[in-house]
Order: sequence, then structure tokens, then C-alpha cells
Amino acid sequence: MDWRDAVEIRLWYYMGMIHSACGLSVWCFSDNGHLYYTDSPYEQELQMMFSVGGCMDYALTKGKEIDVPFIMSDSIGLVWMGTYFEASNNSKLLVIVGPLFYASSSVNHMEQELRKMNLSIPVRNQYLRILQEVPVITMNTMKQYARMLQFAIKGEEIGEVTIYFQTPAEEYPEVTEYMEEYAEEGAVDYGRIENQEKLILQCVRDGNRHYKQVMENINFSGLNSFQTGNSQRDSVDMVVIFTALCSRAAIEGGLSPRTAKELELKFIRQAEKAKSMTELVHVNTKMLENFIEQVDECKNKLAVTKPIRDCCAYIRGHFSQELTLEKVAKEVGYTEYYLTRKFQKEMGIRLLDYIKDVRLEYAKVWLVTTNKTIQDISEQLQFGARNYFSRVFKEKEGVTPAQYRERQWNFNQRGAENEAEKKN
Amino acid sequence: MKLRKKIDFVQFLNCVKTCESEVYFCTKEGDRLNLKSTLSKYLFSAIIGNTEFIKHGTIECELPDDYERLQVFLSEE
Repeated sequence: MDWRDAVEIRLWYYMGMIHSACGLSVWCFSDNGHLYYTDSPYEQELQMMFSVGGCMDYALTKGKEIDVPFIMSDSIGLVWMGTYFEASNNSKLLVIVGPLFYASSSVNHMEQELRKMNLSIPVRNQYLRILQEVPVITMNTMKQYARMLQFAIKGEEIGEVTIYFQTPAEEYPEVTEYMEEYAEEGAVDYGRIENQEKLILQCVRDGNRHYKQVMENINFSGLNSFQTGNSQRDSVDMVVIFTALCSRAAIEGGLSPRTAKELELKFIRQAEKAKSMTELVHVNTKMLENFIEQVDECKNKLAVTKPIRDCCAYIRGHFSQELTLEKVAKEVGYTEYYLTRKFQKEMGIRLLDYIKDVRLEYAKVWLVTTNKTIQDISEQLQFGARNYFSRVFKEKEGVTPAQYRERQWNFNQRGAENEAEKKN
Repeated sequence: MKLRKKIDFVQFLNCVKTCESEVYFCTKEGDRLNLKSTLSKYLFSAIIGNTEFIKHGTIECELPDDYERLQVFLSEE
């Protein structure tokens, strides 16, 4: 074997190339975390930070199960990339590239945080001196370095690199490249970003489960960073805005506003709680997947045959009349048995429950918009006794019709008072 | 108490995690770094390479029992 073929030699070249290109350091550890070598000028300090931030633990446990580069980050925004390879003597080694920051504002933000701590100047300066030398690199560039690393280790050119992001949970999300890219500072093509967004939101609207292919084709670079000085906050804000956009698109795609808002709130809360960039990417990916799945399921539900759509229209047009199964089946032209089975299969709900739900929808409208008594509403909507109506209503809405009416009226009253105050 | 020379700082911080109460690294400049707080741990990481900080710094535990836990890393000097 030619000595230049040895993986250690190729790694050595790789180390020199990326260090001269942007000052990124490479670290080589044994598979139990013993450091063999690094070209970092702050070996002891940064190795300690790698450990303190939990990235070392991740690399030595979860990272071992991943055979492609994985990205880790910690609570102060330091990002590391790692992968395992087999050395010439068949031992397994861990190579780490980093640390780096995604945004140049990271150190500025840290300076502000340190001012609150009332530290002595020597300690503060020592800390900042190290972090100011950490290179700021975009995800796009990091991706290229990941490809180069794969080439240096495997000795073969690879096209797409699937990158794993560290998560605090047990799961290992597989995230394709579109998600790790953020707009490059000073080189933002707003028109391109807008078009990419349109395409992605169209995927959400369509419930297109093949959205990853679409994103790979357009090389999605994500939303633009705000550059406010707090990179973590900026990233959270980007995810929050993207979640709201996806929610709106999902509603346009047919998802009920209630479900969309519930999902939106859920993911916004998760984004706010995210402690690192990688966790945030994970939340963003899950959010997008979830909205698309929900819209897709919703669209499948809508794929009902004409007789069942006619059946629904008939029920909605005659909700205040007595509706028996026999009557509805006769109207549609099916036998009762066939209709009930077909209805449940296509609509995912029993026909009699559907009739009840439609009536309850109208009950809610009448309760709020009319002065009809609850007894009258109950009778006109074919529920019969007021007690039965109240019980069914409470099962569905969690409150009795009287409570519902009172709550809505109070709500409307407050709204009117606020409007009046504004005018005054 | 002071830190011994040439200790494994990663193991030291792991040991601090097991302490029941707060453990501080105090510099001669008057900084008091709580070694159970994340940001302070980063600050501590940044200064371990500078022997002057370690040589003149002291470790303070809120509970006497915690000194026992950290015994292998500490010296009276």
C-alpha cells in the first residue's frame, strides 16, 4: 500500500487544508475519548468546553451508532462536527472538527452576558480571547467540509451527505441538508429565499410528503437571520415565523384552523425551549413534517365519493328535521347497512355521530347569536329533552350550553367595551 | 483549598457534579465561579490553561462533606 493511501495521512492533509482555509481545528480521539492529537491552539480549554457542553458524551455514545458526519452544538452556540473512522491498525478513531460559530453575533452576545456577571477583566478577557478566535462559518461551508472529511476518510467522492443533528432525546433524527442552511450574512438573495419559501409552503398546502425531494432540488437555504446580536434568539425567531407560515399554509391546504393553531403553539413552545442550534433544527424539521402529514391526511379524508358528499349535504340541509338512518339511506339510494359502512370508511366517523356533530355546530351558533331558550334549541335540533341535549353538548365542548352561552356573551361584551374604549 | 497540579479537569468537574451543594472556584482577582453553573463551567474551562489562575485560585464548598468528595483533586497549599 502506498503510504499516501493511509487514512491518517489523508486526515493530516485535510487538517492542514481546513485550518489554512478558515482556522478550523481537527481533533482525533480514541473511541473512549482519549485525545491523540489536535492542531487547536487552545487544546486544553476547548477540549474542556467540548466536554462541559455535553458534546463529548454525545460523540462517545450516540455518535458511535452513526456512520456519517454528525453535528453537535452546546448552550453557548459552539458547533462541532464529528465522525468515526477505522485507522490503519483497525482501531476505531473519532475525528472532531470545530468548534465554530454559525453567526458572527455569537461572541458579541456573550460579551453582553458576561457584563451581567461582574467578572474580573483577566477572567473575562481570557474567555473572550479564546472564543473570538473560533471561526464563524455558515452551514453551507460546514456541509462542504463534511463532504471533504468523508472523502478524506473513505477515499471516495460522495454526492449528498446526510447529516445527523445531536438531540437531547433518545431519537436520532435524520435531517437532509436543506435544513442546516441558513442565509449567509452579506450574501442574502432575498428573491431566491422568497421563491424557496413559496415552494416549501406550497408543499405544506398540498400535503406533499415528497417535500424533501423538492427541497433538495431547490437547495433550500432557510429563512434569513435577523442579526440582532443574539444568534440563538434570532434562530428561535426564525423557527417561530416559519412555523406560523406553515400553519397558515396548512389551513389553506384544508387543515382545520384549530388543529393548525394547536400544532403551531406546540412547536413554538418547543422552539422557545430549545437550548441549542441542533435542537432547534430538529424542532423545525419535526414541525414541517407534522404539518405536511396532517394536511395530507386531511386531503385523504376529503377524498370522499359523490354519494357520501351528497349525503353530508343532505344532512347539513335538513339538520333541524328528524333524520333517521332509513330516511338518509333512502335519499342517497343505498341500503342502511351499506351506507353506514361506506360513510364510516370514507369519513372516519359514524353517520349518526356526524348528524349529531352537525347539529351541535348549529347549536353553538344559535346559543350565541339568538335569544332562543336552551329548551327551544334542543327541540328544534331534534335532541328532545333539554337534559339530553346538555349532556351531549358537554361531552363535546366540555361545558353545558348555558355555560357556553354565558362565556361567549361575556367575551363579546368585553370585546365591545374594548372597542368603545379605543374610540373614546 | 487549592487545586492540585496536573489534575484531570474533566474528571474534576464530573466529581463536582456529585457534590450535594455548590462548589466555587475563586480567583485572586475576586471572581467566584459556581462550578455547577453552565456558564461558569465554560469560564473555568477558559482559564484552566493559564497556570497562574489555577495556582492562585481556591476551591470553596458550601458543605464540608463536599470537600471529602473532591479530596483527590485538592491540596492544603
